[in-house]
Amino acid sequence: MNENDVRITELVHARLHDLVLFAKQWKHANAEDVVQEAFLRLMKQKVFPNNPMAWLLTTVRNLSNNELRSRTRRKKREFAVQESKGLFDVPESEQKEEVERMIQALESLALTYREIIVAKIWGGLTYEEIAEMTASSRSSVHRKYQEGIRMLGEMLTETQDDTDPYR
Amino acid sequence: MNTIEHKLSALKPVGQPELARRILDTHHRRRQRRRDCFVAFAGLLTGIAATLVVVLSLPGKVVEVSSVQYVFINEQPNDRAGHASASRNPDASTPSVPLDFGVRRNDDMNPDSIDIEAWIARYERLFRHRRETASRFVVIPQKPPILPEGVSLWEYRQSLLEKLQV
Repeated sequence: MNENDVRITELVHARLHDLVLFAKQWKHANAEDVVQEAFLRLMKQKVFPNNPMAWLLTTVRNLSNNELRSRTRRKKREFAVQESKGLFDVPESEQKEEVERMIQALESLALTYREIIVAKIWGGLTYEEIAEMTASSRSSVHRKYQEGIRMLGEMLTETQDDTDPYR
Repeated sequence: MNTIEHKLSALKPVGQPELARRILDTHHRRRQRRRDCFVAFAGLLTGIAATLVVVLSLPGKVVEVSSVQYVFINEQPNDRAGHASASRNPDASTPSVPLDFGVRRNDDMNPDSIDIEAWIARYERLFRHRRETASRFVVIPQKPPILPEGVSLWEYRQSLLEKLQV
């Protein structure tokens, strides 16, 4: 097994769930197939990328955009309903409700913000890498990330106020 | 990292054991196929190299390939003994006949069943280099026929050479 084979195996073991999470942001039915296809393309690379995780995320993004374009609007809505479940492990604890609220808030964000937040937090990419992936500037990515986080905070505060019995 | 980011990063995406197995299976199969291809290619190269070494190191000699025997005939007057003893004819335009033309009686294969032209065509490229130095090249079956009643070895050889236009 050469060095690249080892790296691919490690990526599958360590980062697969992050990649599937990223693919699911497009809310199509083939998130897992898209990730598998991205890995297949990585295996076929003659020159192994310096940052395979960034390469995989970019490939997943491109494939997902293609996949999304091929769907009709009606189907997209159907898949949106199907894919909104099972993104994260929700622990059976006191924080369960809060975690579910957070997931819901994240899912309600626009894709432009969501893809950046997921790529940053779970994909582990830097602002520069995300900028390269989304073909935009670092400052634009940074601004969208901060804005997304702020919107999430607002949404969580609102939902918390709604459920507060003393309000 | 603010509180929201901190809370988000604490979320753990759902595991994908089935997908991981599928990808690793594919990865394993690809590596296996790559290894098999490499071994087959190395074997092929070794085979070609070995054949070329043998062929190129045998100027004016008999080269045996499969069930067919190749004779390189050099018509130069100073050719080595053996193959060219009959080609010492200074008149190069006269077809020469190698004396050691390898027909043997004690075999039972009918040369007519061998598509000699096909053999020549098949190996022509391989032996092109030799053909440049050996002005002519003939192919004869390694396993000669049971000669028909009343036909001598000499007559058979002549007819075969005619057929080959040697």
